[in-house]
Amino acid sequence: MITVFYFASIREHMGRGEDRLETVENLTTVAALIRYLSETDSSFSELSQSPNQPLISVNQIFAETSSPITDGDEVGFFPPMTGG
Amino acid sequence: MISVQTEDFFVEAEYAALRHRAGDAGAIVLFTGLVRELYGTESNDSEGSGKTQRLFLEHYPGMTEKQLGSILQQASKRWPLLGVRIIHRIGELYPGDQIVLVATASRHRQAAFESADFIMDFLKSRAPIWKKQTSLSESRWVESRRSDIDALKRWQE
Repeated sequence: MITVFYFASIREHMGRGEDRLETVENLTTVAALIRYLSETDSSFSELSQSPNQPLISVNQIFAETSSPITDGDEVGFFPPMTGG
Repeated sequence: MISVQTEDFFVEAEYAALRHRAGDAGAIVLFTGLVRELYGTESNDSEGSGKTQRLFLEHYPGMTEKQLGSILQQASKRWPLLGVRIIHRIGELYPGDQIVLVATASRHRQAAFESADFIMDFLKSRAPIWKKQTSLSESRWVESRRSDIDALKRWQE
């Protein structure tokens, strides 16, 4: 299973805070996950085509689309941070 | 020491605790960030927005603590710190409320000043925390600022 978390404006756009993906054999990179979510979810598809690409984390560490993922991982999609 | 919490904090208590922990420190710098009533009036915000009624802070539980920990570690490598305290509040906040505390202790003031500044700069752009601002007219996510990202560059040598 891969757990996907959405935060802030992206969470609101998706209408939910997380997705749990059971079948993950072919999802070996963040790019493959993005492709899969874009094909299966129209909200995510809009997101991945927007000029403001979300930031990505894998297991709570900043990641790139080329970053590898594996069963049990946690992937986050979120906008640029505005804390402080 | 790092805390991410909804509760308010007491500057005097944090100062006393850090002063005690830091042993023979010659300088303690303590920064607090507060919720402002007027946002967007000095930036590129053409509509001038309105007075902030409240601020909602969302974060990525777990990752926030990890990121703050790694910022603290970087600061400790750069400056001879005798103690550091970071508190970031989340949830619903109102104008005048305290949002963040960064306190650093060192033998000399320059290290304490610089490291507190460094921690704040990295915290703003690297800790997964987001602000949503509600005014009388609207509710919207605060946009990240170019100046905050540029601020990181001055630490790059």
